[in-house]
Amino acid sequence: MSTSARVPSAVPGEPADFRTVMAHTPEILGAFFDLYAAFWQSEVLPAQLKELTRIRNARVTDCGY
Amino acid sequence: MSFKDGSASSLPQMEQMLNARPELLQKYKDFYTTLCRDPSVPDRLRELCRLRVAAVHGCDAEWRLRDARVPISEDELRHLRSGNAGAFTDSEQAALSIAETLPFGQHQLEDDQLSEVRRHIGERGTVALLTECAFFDVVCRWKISFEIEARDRLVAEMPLDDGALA
Repeated sequence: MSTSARVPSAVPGEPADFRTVMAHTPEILGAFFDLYAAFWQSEVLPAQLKELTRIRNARVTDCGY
Repeated sequence: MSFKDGSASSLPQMEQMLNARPELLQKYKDFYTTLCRDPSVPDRLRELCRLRVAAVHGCDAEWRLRDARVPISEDELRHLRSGNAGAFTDSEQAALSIAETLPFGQHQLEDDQLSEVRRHIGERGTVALLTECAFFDVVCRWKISFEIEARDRLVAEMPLDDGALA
């Protein structure tokens, strides 16, 4: 596993992270945030349940980010 | 009533099921369509990766969809199914190595694999391709989990056919 970002930040002066690397494709980034916001704003599932599953998924996939 | 068999709608099963959450359906379509129209990844490269991810998962519901804009020969389909990347061009092999690894080996992705993709389609293309492969992975998991029926379908423009999700 790489210890540094394999694609640099697309935002000058900001470190590489999910948002700044995805910023290489601003249209995709915008559409992703729209979809992700819809997930979190939906009230069909309690926010606590969504957060628990998000954290568990990160653990199962060993994603420390 | 189950999600799968409760409607006589002519809409594809995927769209019927996602329509149980109409507040998400349109955003989902918008995101998927944006991915499929990103100009930094050639349509053929994207379609090859989509099919390889489907093959890695053994997801027939995804495998049997075809993008009408991207003809792929029977020989190429056979190679995609078996994982024989050597039958494809250098840039296609680079992209397919990502599609091959991501579904069950995301921690095994090597710097060299990403560097090779960057050499062919640049940084923007690499970000788009990785996002596309990750999304195809999600779609396969979703379709397998909900046991979406597999049927041959030629889609006018992935992921939409006459505005409906494939």
